[in-house]
Amino acid sequence: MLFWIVAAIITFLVTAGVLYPLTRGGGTLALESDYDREIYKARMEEIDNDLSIDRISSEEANAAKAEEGRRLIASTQSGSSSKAIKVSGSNKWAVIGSIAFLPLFTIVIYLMSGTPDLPDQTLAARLSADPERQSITSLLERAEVQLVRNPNDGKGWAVVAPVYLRLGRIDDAINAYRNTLRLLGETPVRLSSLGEVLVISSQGVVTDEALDLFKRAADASPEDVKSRFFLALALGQNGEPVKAVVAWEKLLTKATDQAPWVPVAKANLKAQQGLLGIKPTPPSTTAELPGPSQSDIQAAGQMDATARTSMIEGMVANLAAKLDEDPTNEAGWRRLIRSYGVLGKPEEARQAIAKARLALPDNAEFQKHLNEAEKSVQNKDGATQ
Amino acid sequence: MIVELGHFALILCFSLSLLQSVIPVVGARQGNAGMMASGTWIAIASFLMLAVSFASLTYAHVASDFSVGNVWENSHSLKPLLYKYSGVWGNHEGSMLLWVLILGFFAALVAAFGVNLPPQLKANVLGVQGWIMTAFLAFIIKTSNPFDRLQPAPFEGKDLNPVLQDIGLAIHPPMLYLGYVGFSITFSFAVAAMLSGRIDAAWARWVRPWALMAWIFLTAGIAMGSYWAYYELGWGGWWFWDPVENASFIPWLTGTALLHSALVMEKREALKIWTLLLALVTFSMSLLGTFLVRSGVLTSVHAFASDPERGVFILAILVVFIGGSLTLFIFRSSELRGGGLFAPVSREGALVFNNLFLATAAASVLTGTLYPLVLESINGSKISVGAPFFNMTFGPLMMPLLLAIPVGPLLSWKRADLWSAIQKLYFAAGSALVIGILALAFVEGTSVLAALGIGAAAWVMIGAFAEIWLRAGFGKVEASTAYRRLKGLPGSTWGTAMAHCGVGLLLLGIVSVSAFQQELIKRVAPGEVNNFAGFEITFEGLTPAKGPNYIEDVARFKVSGRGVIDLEMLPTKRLYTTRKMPTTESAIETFKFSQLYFSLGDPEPDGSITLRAWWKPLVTFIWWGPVLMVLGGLTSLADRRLRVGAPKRAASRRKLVNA
Amino acid sequence: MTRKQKRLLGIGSIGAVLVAAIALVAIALQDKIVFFYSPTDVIVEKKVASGQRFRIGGLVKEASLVKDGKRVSFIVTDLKNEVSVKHTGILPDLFREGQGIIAEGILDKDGVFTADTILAKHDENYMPKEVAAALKEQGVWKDPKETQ
Repeated sequence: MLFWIVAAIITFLVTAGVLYPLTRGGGTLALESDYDREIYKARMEEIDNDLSIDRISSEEANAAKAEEGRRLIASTQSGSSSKAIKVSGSNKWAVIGSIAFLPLFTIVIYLMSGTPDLPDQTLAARLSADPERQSITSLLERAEVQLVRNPNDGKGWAVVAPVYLRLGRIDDAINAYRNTLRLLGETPVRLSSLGEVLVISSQGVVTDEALDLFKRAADASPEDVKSRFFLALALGQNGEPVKAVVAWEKLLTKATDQAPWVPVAKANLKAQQGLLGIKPTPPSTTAELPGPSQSDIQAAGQMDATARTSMIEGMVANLAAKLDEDPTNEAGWRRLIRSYGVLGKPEEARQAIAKARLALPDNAEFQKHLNEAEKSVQNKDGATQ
Repeated sequence: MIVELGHFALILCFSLSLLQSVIPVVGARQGNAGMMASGTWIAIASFLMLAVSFASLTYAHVASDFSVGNVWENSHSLKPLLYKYSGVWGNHEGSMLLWVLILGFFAALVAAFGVNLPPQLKANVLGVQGWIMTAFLAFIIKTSNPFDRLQPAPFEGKDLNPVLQDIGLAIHPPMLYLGYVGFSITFSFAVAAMLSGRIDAAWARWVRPWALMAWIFLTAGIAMGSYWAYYELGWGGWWFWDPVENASFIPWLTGTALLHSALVMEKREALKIWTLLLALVTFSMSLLGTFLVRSGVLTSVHAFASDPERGVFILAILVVFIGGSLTLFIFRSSELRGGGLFAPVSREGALVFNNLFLATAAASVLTGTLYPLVLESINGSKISVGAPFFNMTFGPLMMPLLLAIPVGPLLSWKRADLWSAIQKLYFAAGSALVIGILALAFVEGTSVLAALGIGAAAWVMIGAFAEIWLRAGFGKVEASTAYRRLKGLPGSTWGTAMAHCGVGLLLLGIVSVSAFQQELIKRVAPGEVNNFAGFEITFEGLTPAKGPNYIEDVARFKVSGRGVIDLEMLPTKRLYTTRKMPTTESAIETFKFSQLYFSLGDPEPDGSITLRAWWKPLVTFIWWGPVLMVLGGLTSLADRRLRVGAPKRAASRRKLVNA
Repeated sequence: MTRKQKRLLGIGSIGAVLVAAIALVAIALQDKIVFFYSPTDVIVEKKVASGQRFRIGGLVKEASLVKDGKRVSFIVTDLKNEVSVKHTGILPDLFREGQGIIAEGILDKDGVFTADTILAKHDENYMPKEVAAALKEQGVWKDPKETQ
């Protein structure tokens, strides 16, 4: 609104300025011949000056003066220069035209290309604006600017890390969590958070580095759930179903059913129990999947279970595709087969084992590993059927 | 809101310029004083609106408002403040806004200070300015609106081209435009004269100060552009015959011709058609330059914009204005009566000589600039026309002109004795001869050609002041009389002498650099010492450093010799991080009027780097010459005789208005 | 001299200057201009006469740049044909492998181009106009604007 008020004032002033000479009456104007006379006078002075300093001879001066005189007479006699000037002729159409045209035309053209409601968005204003009203991306960009300026701002890294995770920028998230850890020191939450993104980046497999982080987190705080969750997962992945079942059960006893990780934990417990031939406990009726978590930054770290599962599945699919291209990657096959086991997909696991057998027929140790894996898959399959 | 107000002001100015195109012109036709006077007010209001608009764009740049597309494209929050300012016009949209701002500035100058102009002439001049303004504002609003917004706003800008992050750029385009666009005034005067049919000596007198002003700005702008290219591009050259340089140089040549021919028209009412044509052509060349630069039709270091829609639009403006004005010219020129008569050997004759060579030189530069475009559109061959072409055509055309400079002012009007004029110059000729011979004998490495060049420069510089010397009559009359005469000499005589002397100085710089420049290209390792051009140059090594938006390797050199000991010179290789763009910052050290110039190649992994060093004797004369020309122009402009009073009745009328 | 003779003299000398100027420009346009060719023009179409000064433009072939102090050599390619180029001096800031450049000089008998001037444009995204056109002719490069 303020914009339109200021625009109206400017338009009014400008229109008034244009109208002023049009509506003014009275007075006289000089004729064009008066202007010619001024030039004549100036030329005469010049010639006299030149004469006085001997720049020209008196002969030349007289000739020049005569020429100027002839010119003056010629110009005053010609029609155009002595034409009378109407001081208050009919300006009506010019006045009306200006009043109507200036504001209307301006506003029409402006509305075609302008955005009157869009406020200025200077950097300073945006940096100090209320964060709640901004999108996550713009918050993130703001934080990134700060971090470029001051890369040792640990708190800054701590803020952006979960946001990266949520946006699926896993490598950035790893970097941000590492920086957080390095700059702010170790806490169980920071350790297990870094571990978590490492797991996600390695397609759901708990790597040695991640395992070490989780162990340190768990040692530091017996209350840290996340580290225990992943430690349990690691046990399952490392083919220690007994320990895994114990770990999962211990974890689940502490949990409320609302916690987002609970369904994943239960599914894993069931799978591990299956490996051991234990009948799974009947599924809890209250363990329905929670809705999407709050879309704020704090919640981003606690990515909801379905999203996480689907992310892991996507990564596993990626890995499978890579192995189709490069079947000699032994570690990759191990990881893929293990991942199918974790995800509870025995059919895919069997296919992967078969492919791996063909891919590396000469690797005796690997073939032995495949045999064991196949057995465990069959057990598990049998258990669930 | 500030940004949108700027946008609104721009469009309000568009509406104003439409009114300015119509009301004063109709007023002049009908002899209506109110409508003619409204031109003055509209022109001033337009300029104010443009100033508001430009200020708000500047605000957006300085405050890094990336919701403005133009800011986002060309700025970055970390950019140094100075370049946030210069970034306003360091891009296509902003520079076009600056273009019209300056157009509006000149129109407002005529409106405010043209009180000595007859009302019809002034109204028509402002009306024609309104036409130009309308065309270019339509261009900006339609194709290049700097106020286009982005929603949502990106968080960080894309940064300004680092080559443009230079203090020289902060001044260069505004100056160039001031000159370029300034000649719109002479164009408007010419069209206005043709509209009213009054084309005579008085008209020439009214237009001359404006032509001189535009010429001063253009001279300064070109000189600064040249210095910018010299030290920023790191190639050690000061003029590249680049199409964009030519685009400003052609109007300079025709504008210089116009200054001289308008003098004949004013004093003798001769050369009327020619002067009128020059006034039209000069601005047409400015428009052509704008087209070449802004359409991106040429391959050039300066041509940053490329967008066919824009090119076609400016081409249309070009065709309408050049075609329209030339058509009007053809109709009017047949009605003109001949002016004063003069003999071939006379002041008039000398000025015709000047015009002939300047115009021919302008035509040859124009040919060389446009020939590649024409040839490509005819048979598809791609060629480049570079320095060899211009040296062969422009050089020989300039030589007779330079040699004639001292003679011209000594010839009297109507008919003169060439021989006696040359005799009066015996001192200048003798000194030039001696200086040339001395150079040949005592300065090592002087070729005959260089000696001739030095002699010619001396001839022009000394000869430039011959008129003043002779007019004062030193040696012939008593000193007090001579002093009285000296004081009585009009400012324009001093101005002419200074400007002509500036040309000689420029020539001396060019000859000296071409003949005596020394160059060294060498890969240097840390600790290495080289002897070059009387200097001992020690390379101390590379030091990494960090600027606000770039990282750099600073090469440290210690230079001794020619009166300095252990002078530090620090050329650097920079990498602008946002655009990943490397640049070389040269290091230049001035020794009186000569310069030592260091540029760098790529650093090698072993810490060595390729150094390119030049010793450029008297190189700064290339820019001191134009400075002297500008000072001469200013002296002439300050001459009260160029100013003509306003008639009494008009003056009293103005009082009435003010009261 | 009569007035008529004077006028004739005046017009005659103006005419003489103009004729001289036109002759100069015409000769310069014959001798002093430099044609632009792509490697294909040079190798396949043999457009270049021996000893003729010309400009060659294309992309700097990846991994072809060899530097020895101030002496450099590299290969210019339009992705169909290649010409090796040698040069003494400093390369422009934006000279990089894979980047479009223009070199001016002479082709010697062995088909090596000796360049005295190397141009790379002062804009990261900017492809020299001639190079872009030449590459387009070869059908290997598309203007990003046109494909949008």
